[in-house]
Amino acid sequence: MHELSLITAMMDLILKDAQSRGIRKITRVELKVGEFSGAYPHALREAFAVASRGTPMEGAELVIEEVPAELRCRECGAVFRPSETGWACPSCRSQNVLLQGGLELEIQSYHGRDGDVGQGRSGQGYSSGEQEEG
Amino acid sequence: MSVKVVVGKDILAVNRKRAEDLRARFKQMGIKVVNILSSPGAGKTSVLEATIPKLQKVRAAVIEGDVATTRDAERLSHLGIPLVQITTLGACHLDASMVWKALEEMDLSRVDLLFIENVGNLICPASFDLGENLRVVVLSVAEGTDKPAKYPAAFLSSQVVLINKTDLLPYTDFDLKRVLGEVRAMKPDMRTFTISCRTGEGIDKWVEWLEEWVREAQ
Repeated sequence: MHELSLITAMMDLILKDAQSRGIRKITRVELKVGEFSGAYPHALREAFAVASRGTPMEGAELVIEEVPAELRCRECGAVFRPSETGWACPSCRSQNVLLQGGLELEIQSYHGRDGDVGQGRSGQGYSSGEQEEG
Repeated sequence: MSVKVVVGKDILAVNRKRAEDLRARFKQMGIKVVNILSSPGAGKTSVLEATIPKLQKVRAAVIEGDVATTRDAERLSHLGIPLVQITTLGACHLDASMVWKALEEMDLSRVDLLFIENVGNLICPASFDLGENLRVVVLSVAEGTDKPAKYPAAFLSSQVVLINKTDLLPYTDFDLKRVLGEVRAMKPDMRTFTISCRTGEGIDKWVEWLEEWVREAQ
């Protein structure tokens, strides 16, 4: 239900970054979405199709890497998936476990055209640009 | 030429930054903030109605989040405390900028504890930091035993679980022991209270802990 908020937040971040680099058209966006993040890939795609209309991101390919939930036992170190019956470690039955994957909501990267990254302009100080053939 | 830009950033980075700004502002004002989450009808407003009149050592204020209507705010208006309603007009959660705006409407000069009642929803609000110091999730007996396992993000991001409507325990197959066990399996340091806003059972214990927390945290 909040996928539209997530998509507009994602678009704001990328469009601002792209503008600072002189990138005028976004062609691909790569996201990482955890199983327990509360965001559903299908709804993200629907929201993106609507929200990107009329923006430099319209028509961009949205690639979503779904990250399965993963628990790690703090006692014996076993790594396992949460099961219907609970979060106890299947090896040693300990309940002292840590969720180490599955809550992700991340922008990994985006691809753009008409770029100007060779000028050494950086975005918000958190991104790094790499050129590639295309 | 095509360019790839590596971002590696949280989608909600802007909200997180705004929430950090809020937290700093609250700290400066000497106010502790509690964000209350639950599914619709679990009893968030009832918890506030039962809790606030019992507070003796701390002065409270409330930000009420609702999709539509001001009914929850009306229920609390007789308490005579600073109260602001945020109507999200369809949005399923509050975000930090909504809280920021609500603060412009409030006089918090004589407040120690600000409750933010989120929109009734166990999915979306879990992702949005509101600058709170404590997140409380309310789970009611009528909702069934499997809520923590089905909505792990809401429970994992909270520090306190209030199990409400315990007066209904004899009439349901809610397995209190199992729920408490599952919550602790998820998060061993989770604090849990069993309460009934209808009968008042367990409220004193929760209020006592809350007042202590506000004072310790200051």
